[in-house]
Amino acid sequence: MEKVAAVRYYKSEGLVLGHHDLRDADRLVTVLTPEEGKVGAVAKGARRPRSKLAASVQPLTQACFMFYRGRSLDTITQAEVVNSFRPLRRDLDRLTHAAYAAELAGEVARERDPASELYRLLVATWEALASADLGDLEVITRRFELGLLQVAGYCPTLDGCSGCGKRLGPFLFSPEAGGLVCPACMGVQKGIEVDEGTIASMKAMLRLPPGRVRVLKLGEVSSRHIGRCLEACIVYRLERRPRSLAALAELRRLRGK
Amino acid sequence: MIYPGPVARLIEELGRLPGVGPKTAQRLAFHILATDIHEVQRLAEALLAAKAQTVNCSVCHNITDVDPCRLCRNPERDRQLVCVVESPKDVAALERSHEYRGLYHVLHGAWSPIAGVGPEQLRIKELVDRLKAGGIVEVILATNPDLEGEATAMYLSRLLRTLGVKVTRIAHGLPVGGELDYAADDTIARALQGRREM
Repeated sequence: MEKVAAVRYYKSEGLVLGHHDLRDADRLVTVLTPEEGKVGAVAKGARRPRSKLAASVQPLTQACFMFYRGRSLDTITQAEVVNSFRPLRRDLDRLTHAAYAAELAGEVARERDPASELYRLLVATWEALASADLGDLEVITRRFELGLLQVAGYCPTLDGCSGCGKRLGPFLFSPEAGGLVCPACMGVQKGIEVDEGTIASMKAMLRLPPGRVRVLKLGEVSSRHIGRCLEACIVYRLERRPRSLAALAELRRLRGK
Repeated sequence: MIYPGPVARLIEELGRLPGVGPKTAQRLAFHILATDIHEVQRLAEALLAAKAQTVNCSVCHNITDVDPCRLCRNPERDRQLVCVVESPKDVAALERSHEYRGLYHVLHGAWSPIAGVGPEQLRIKELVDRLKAGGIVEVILATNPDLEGEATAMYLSRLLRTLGVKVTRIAHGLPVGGELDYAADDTIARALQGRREM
């Protein structure tokens, strides 16, 4: 009996992606772990002010968890904060970019499917978003989007036409075709216009870790083109528009006021 | 069908309530069946009356049976202060403290980028209209100190900045009766920042 009980408990570091209220004082928490992938777990009493779990199960927190494996949902029995990414909670722009990354990670990760690469990417992205200048948040988020597509196996082809393999431009960008496409292969279908600079910037982004991607100083046009290409890829792969994109757009609107 | 139609329907309807699973719904249904008919009638009447006679106050958007609500009508409340909260339950919590004598504004939710709740789904436009109408000197942001509540407070402070009112945030710190050892580093940091001389 003791052996069975021991197997039902497991310990893992995790990143809290989101939560929902459950019953009177509980929370249903979505945690991304390296070994178990996405885990849905109940944090009992986590909405009470004196709860010992409350701080650890806040979204955008990295913590060490002890889980009890349930039939459908696990239960968090103990937790200790590893990194609360405090600057993310104190600035609306940082918070919204980090929430967008969390939403995308939650969409790509699968339950009980190891996700160590995605886990490392998200930790590095949250760290970068927490410490970067506000002007660098966009480029860090673009780097995360590219990394996420790569981890999920959908990294856009950037070395040449994904149809005929031609390596010299001009190219268009098509999420449906899987990246760059030459005008001949594109035919009558519509693609997103990309110039050489935009393609080179995306390649450079992939070579740099999230913490260093801010060294790339993207021009306004390149930044807009990259944003459009990656957003189109994400929407195409997820088959829906990420919810946090509306929040990012609202912040841009507020800044423009 | 295990149960007769009316009982099965009762179990099904009770099971729709938040936090009530099939077993609890069954237990509640059997409790109702075993209860005196007059008591059941009172329960049914209370359910219908609460729904039929409750509206949102047209000023503060708190739940009320008279419009404007009793808090908004009360001449003894400080009309220069507005405390912004997420839900009607928060108004009740603040009133229980007997510390606050101003008015309220209930948002009916919090801004949550992850859950896709945006400002247009909250009563933010109504708050801005209230402030534009004049007379309010200070807005106290009393949204929850969790991620969504903080995001809402930061968003509102950015939005209301241009309206010429003082915007304040309720203090953060250690809960009464809590333990330092289990407090989040952010909570401790904020408690230290908000320390006062004794």
